[in-house]
Amino acid sequence: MDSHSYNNETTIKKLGFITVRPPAHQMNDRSIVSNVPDLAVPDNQITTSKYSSIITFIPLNLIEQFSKLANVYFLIIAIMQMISTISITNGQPVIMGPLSIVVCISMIKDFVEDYQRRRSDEAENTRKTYLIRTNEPPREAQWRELRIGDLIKVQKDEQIPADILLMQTSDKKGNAFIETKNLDGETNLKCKNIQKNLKQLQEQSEDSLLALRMTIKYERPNPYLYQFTGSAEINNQQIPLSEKNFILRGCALRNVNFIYGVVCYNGHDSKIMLNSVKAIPKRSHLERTMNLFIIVIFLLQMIMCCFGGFLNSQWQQIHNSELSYLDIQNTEPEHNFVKNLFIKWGNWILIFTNFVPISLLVSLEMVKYFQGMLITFDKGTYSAEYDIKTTVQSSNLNEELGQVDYIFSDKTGTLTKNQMDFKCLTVNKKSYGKEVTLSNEEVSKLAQVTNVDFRDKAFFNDLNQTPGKGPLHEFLLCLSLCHTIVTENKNGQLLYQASSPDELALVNFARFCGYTFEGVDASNSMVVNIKGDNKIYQLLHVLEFNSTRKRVSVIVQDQQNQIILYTKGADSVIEPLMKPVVPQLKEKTWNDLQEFASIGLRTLLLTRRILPLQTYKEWEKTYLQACSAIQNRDNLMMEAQAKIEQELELIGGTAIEDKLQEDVGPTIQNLKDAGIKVWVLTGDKIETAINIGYSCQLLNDTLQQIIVDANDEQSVNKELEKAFQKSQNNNKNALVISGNALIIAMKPEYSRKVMEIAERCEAVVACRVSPKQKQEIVQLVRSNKPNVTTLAIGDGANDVNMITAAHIGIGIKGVEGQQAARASDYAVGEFRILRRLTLYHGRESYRKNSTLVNYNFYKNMLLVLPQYWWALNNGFSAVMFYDQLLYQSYNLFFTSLPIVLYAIFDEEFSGDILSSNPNLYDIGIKHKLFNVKIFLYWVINGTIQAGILSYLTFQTYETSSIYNGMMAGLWTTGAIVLGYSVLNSNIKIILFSNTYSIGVIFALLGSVLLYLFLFFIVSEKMPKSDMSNSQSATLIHLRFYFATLLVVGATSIFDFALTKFAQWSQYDQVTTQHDKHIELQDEQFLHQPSPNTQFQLNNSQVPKSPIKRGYTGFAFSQEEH
Amino acid sequence: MSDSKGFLHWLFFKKWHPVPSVGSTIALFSIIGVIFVALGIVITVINNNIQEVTIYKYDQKCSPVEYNKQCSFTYKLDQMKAPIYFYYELENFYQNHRRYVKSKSSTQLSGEEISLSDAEKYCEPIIFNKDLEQWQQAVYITENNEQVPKQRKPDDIASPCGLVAKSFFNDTYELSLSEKNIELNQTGISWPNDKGKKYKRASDSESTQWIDPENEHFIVWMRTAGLPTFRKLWGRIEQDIEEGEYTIKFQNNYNPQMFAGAKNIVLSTSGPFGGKNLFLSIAFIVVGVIQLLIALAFLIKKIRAGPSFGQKNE
Repeated sequence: MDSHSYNNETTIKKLGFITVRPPAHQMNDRSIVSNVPDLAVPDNQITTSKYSSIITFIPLNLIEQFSKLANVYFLIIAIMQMISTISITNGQPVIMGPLSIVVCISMIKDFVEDYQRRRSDEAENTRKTYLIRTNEPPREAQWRELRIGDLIKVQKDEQIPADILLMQTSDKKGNAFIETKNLDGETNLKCKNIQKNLKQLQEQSEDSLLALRMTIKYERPNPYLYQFTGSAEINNQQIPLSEKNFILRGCALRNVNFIYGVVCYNGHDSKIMLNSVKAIPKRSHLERTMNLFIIVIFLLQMIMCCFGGFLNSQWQQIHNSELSYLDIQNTEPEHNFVKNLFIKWGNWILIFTNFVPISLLVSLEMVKYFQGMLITFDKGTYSAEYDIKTTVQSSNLNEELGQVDYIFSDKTGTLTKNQMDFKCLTVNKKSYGKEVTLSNEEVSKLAQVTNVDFRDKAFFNDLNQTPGKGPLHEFLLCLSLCHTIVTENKNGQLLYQASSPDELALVNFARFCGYTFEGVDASNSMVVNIKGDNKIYQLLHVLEFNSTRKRVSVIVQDQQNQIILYTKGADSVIEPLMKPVVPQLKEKTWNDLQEFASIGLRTLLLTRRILPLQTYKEWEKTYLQACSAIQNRDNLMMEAQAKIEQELELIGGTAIEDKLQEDVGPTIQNLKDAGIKVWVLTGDKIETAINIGYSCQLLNDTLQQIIVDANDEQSVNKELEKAFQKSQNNNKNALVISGNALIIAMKPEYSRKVMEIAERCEAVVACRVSPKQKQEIVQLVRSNKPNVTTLAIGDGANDVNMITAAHIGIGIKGVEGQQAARASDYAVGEFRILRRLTLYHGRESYRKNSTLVNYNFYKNMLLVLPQYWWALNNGFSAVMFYDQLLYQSYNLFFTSLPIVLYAIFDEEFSGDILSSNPNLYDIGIKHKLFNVKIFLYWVINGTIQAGILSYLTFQTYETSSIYNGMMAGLWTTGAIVLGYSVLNSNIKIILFSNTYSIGVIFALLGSVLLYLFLFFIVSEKMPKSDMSNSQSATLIHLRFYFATLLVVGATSIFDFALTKFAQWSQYDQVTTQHDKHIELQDEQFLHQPSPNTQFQLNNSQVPKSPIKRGYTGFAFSQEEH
Repeated sequence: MSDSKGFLHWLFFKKWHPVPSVGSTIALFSIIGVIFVALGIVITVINNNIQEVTIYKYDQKCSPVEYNKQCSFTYKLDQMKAPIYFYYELENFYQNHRRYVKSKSSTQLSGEEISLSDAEKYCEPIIFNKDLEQWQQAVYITENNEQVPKQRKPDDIASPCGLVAKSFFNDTYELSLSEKNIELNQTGISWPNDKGKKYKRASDSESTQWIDPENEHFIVWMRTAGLPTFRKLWGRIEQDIEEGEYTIKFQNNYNPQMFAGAKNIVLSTSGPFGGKNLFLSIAFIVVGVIQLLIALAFLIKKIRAGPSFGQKNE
């Protein structure tokens, strides 16, 4: 290729093994020539795996492993163990055994994960596409080969391999339909088309397309999915390019046989790749606290060791003259106070090695993984309605689910089903839809459609009185024409693809009444079948919806050449654009709409305008100009659109019900009762949001509503002040705040106040918020209250920001696709599952994982501290009286399995009891089980027990003969102490367990037996060991059993008393039914659905106390991108 | 597949959920408490049946107190039943000191030769013959504790080396009642299997070692004690002894002044759980009483708090 200087070059720096790409915003704007591949830009290969090969994996992953503090600590210990002056293991780095096992497990895990990523990268990179290059025969090429400037051909149902500019489609009109499920999760088809001025390309052959040299200039790579501005130069003519002409990688081509396109962004520059932000690994509150405790324990260890060294130096100084049998020469470092202190400090650190539990992190990770599996297998988290299992994507947040303070919920698709049912209408002073008068038989004769819940016979009677004309005819005609629905013909059935479920409900209602929209034909005409009679309407323009306009218009020309504009939208938007109406009609219509809104329905106003040809022609000119403007196009178009949407005549109003998800009300009630603050963030208008708030029990009449809705800073400030006063005077509040007010309130100078108000509110509803704002709200709460745990739940692509910003992100897998589910930590089928996920799984995981962490510290106290206590008897001279093999096996074999099984399978209360008793959730919110106090309790408990253990054992074994006049020795007694540590830590599990399964009992017995077995090996089969013959000298004699009984009685039994006492004090707050007898619990039993029906609310019913407000709801669930 | 699922289910999901009531817990603690107190009493009774006599600072009983001399004194003993164990007891001797406990070579003691580097590694600071006591350099102590004069090269590796061996306790005792010798059996005083396995004499023991590692007093000494006051078995009297003034003749070799402590003689019989251990009986009774107090505390708490205490409300 000739050396062209398009300035597209991407410099990729190589730092050792790691390649670093410059961030997208530092690149240059792009300029390419079609069919001239630009080799300065990397090809279409993507790499999401961290390691490029097995050779680089080992060193790089090792570096990563040893960037973990714990591993570094143990590595330092290993080095210390090799220094002979302080080594207690004769210079052998024995800690390397357990350390390498722990590191190996982590490395294998990382390797498997990375291998899977590499496999999927490889699969993606080697997918086939049809590449047409100059000087090369057209061929099937791998995706990775594509360069920018290449021409490719994509067949129907194939995926687009890179971001391409559309050049030709098999569709005569130049349209291409794509499904963007992979990108934003939306399943409806989107229409892309060839730039009008490039339509000449449509007729060209592949060869002439290939010969084409067209310079295309466009922006530098950026992550904005819905933005593309550029221009093409062909025959010295500048042609503006927009997002409409541009198809993104990852989309699938539908309804069109093939397309040709020129690659514009490839590989990591493509929008989907720029959007796939690497998720920052989330860590739970418990883990963060645990890490703090590890550091505290480490410091404590250093101090204790230093203190031990000091005591030894001092002891040695005092007893100097009495220690001749130690042969300490004046020249030796041990004779020097300070030098000896440091040596002994080192000795003690080595003895204390296991003070920081080496197996803690591994067992915690393992436990969480299995807890995650149990969440998935739990029938209570399975959504039967949608056949979706809960999937756990970051199980390290399990216990965080038990500590949620704030829930941020999306509304559409999360609380509501995003299924709109047509309910009511008002036309010409008459409202229909509130009665149910049609029999099932009569309904079955009508067209079978979805999204309509309408049984009012009066409507059909009135409609049939004046067939083909009259207000009801106009109404239905407007419904079937004013929309942007795409039709699809599947097996002879007419299907609608709508970008908004409201529109679907409206068009389906028209179909239900015999006004079937058949689609847009080849000559761009809308075909409406009115009771078997096809009517053709030439479609002139569609003035699309956006969140500023909040209305949709179409301009059509009917068969009588009359040009009509149909507009539908929110009443507040439409009202100023309307021609004056007869007062009675207006009053009746507005009253009807208010009534609809008051029962939680979403209302729309339908209007039309008959356009004189002259007016239309003049307007069209300005509009088309605006459409082809290169700068400020959107605003110009909006201005032009507003010019024609004037003097509208009223046709009627519609009301659509937004169906709630199952059990939303009781779930929210329970979550609120559990002490969780629930915030609903929605794109809806305040009124609609309040309505939904009532129907899902978020709001009720006992809450004082505080509404903040203003558009400028001054009034927001004033309203916030007022709201603050109001919230201080009342304990039960609910805050309703609008998006505009929120933008201002989010500023640092107000955010404090907002939080103070929100603090005192049980529920917060934020309306008209954009996806970005949703995220900002979550961040506002997080930054103002750094200690709280936030959970965000949503279903759509617009919730992804919020989901990733919160501590825990929950995605709902459902109609709106997988985007949210993929970005989430837990993906569920329905909102109601949140209850079981938090109140049961979260709470139990929090309880069990807290215990697991505490226990890990405790058992190591029990292991290490007997030696420290006993050191009182030998001047703290740092003697380790355990056998190294047994000592290192303690954490790996003797005490590891039972606690893991406990943390996976133990159950304080069954799932049903916990999900219906939200007051039991408070242990997590109030951090009752994992805090400094509890941690200290465990540490002190372990310390005291270690002391008792050590004292009792030495007193029974070392003061008189154990059998036949034989005296025990230090190593024998040491082995017994270790045995009691093992026994005690296993008994401890019995004490704090709530349920016992055969597996746990086996594991407990097995752990103790394993100790006895290894003890046997060391004692009887290794004659050179210091403690040889110890087992045969102790275990068969009565003294051993007396001592065991005494130790268990003096430690575990007291523990039992304390545990029981704490439990009984806790029951005071519990109001549950629970079997007191020993019961055999069965999984099936546990997972029976709770019979909680008291909150079952028939969603279609009017809320108990009708809400009277002077406004109507606004429909259009669509939210701006 | 379904089998394994069934097995896992049986293993982990069939759970018992015992919720002990306050009443049963009180009962449990009472029973445990009573058992402990009862055991404590039983142990006390057994302890009382075990006879134990300590002759404190026996070296001070000769005047003048001279070391490396023979000496004898008389001591009145009660009637005792065989077997009677004869111990020596040292006070304030830290056999459990870090520098001390690790200063020995298991390899060397099991009869193998060790390299200089191993000797330096394990036996610091007693490596060569010249590091041993003067008398140890000029002697070979046989299995039967007899001393044979033998000169050693000062720069050979000491065998056995290390602090533990060097500080070997070498007093010897004889017991008699009115000129009639009472036999102190000095065999079988070390742990079974220690002799000949863990401690084994080298092939040319007499010329390379200063003590036969199969000497049982040596083996007993080498099992380092865990507390600074410890006793070690020296011999066994295998006949009942009557009340009377006994003469104890001993070779006063070991000087307790070097550790500012004392050396005692202990004569003790044995019970079902070994020697006399008052600590065990006191500890059992104390723990038992505390269990009973806990039961009482629960009872009081339950009466005070009413029947709802400890009940999960229906």
